Amino acid sequence: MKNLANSITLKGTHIEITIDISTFNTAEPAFPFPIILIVNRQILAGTCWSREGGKLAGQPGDPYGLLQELLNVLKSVLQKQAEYRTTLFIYFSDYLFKCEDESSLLIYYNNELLSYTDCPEFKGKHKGVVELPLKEFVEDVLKISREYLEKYAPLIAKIQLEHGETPEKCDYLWELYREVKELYEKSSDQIIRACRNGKC
Amino acid sequence: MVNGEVKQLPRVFNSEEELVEFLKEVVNKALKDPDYASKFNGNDKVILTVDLKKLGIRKDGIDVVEFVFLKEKGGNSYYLKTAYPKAGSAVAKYVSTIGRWVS
Repeated sequence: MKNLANSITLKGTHIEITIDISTFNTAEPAFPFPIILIVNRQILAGTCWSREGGKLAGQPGDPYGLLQELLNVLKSVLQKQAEYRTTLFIYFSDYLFKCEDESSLLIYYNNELLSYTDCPEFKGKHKGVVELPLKEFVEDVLKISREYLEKYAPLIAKIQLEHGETPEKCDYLWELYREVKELYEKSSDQIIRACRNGKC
Repeated sequence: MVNGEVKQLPRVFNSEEELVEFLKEVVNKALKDPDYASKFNGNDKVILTVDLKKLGIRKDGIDVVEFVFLKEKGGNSYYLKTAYPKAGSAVAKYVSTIGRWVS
């Protein structure tokens, strides 16, 4: 991976997000920060160009939008909706989150930008599917969201201000986080109760 | 000519007005489709990835258009931040970070 001296890393058991804060890209107004998203060693967002050093680098994205959408995925999963399609606020990308059963989640991804890579080791790696334990995914997203809101949102806001952009107010994201956390706690209670009744 | 690279861009719209009319038509139709309208569920940021075929709109060279909406500060209405074509035979993609056309 590109050596990012100036980057934010959010890491869970399966998910790893790297936000490059050394550049603020104004060419794509809605996607100012280069972002790498790795889930179980598969590259869901990120790209590589030989003229940029031939290392994995971020692709235009929006950290706030990314976390908002990951929380929306949890909400949809915990409310037993069949699937959730989103771009995760990553420019050029598409993702489909689908529950296989009660315990596992599939993520179908198409990271189009990586399909144009000229780095041989990443050729053909832009598309695929990741399967992961649902519970661990939910816990990863909750952990990462909280960490972002508490530690990094002020830093991102500072950079946005420096570039004349209005920073997001995080009240809504906090609200969404609390709502999803509560949904999760309720659903785990149900699982525990079902187990006590011998139904698992 | 962009960053020393010459690229002949496909021409889909004849004028700025035509482009604005097209975007308006897509947004208005998308908002009548529950799949797209339901995305405005209070979220601070909304991305609509609109499949033109699904809405019965035909535009040679463009299949998918994406819109980014942001919620008005202190209000409940949304405004359009940006819109761009995402897929189609006439869609050219430029990566600003490396200054290169990729498709």
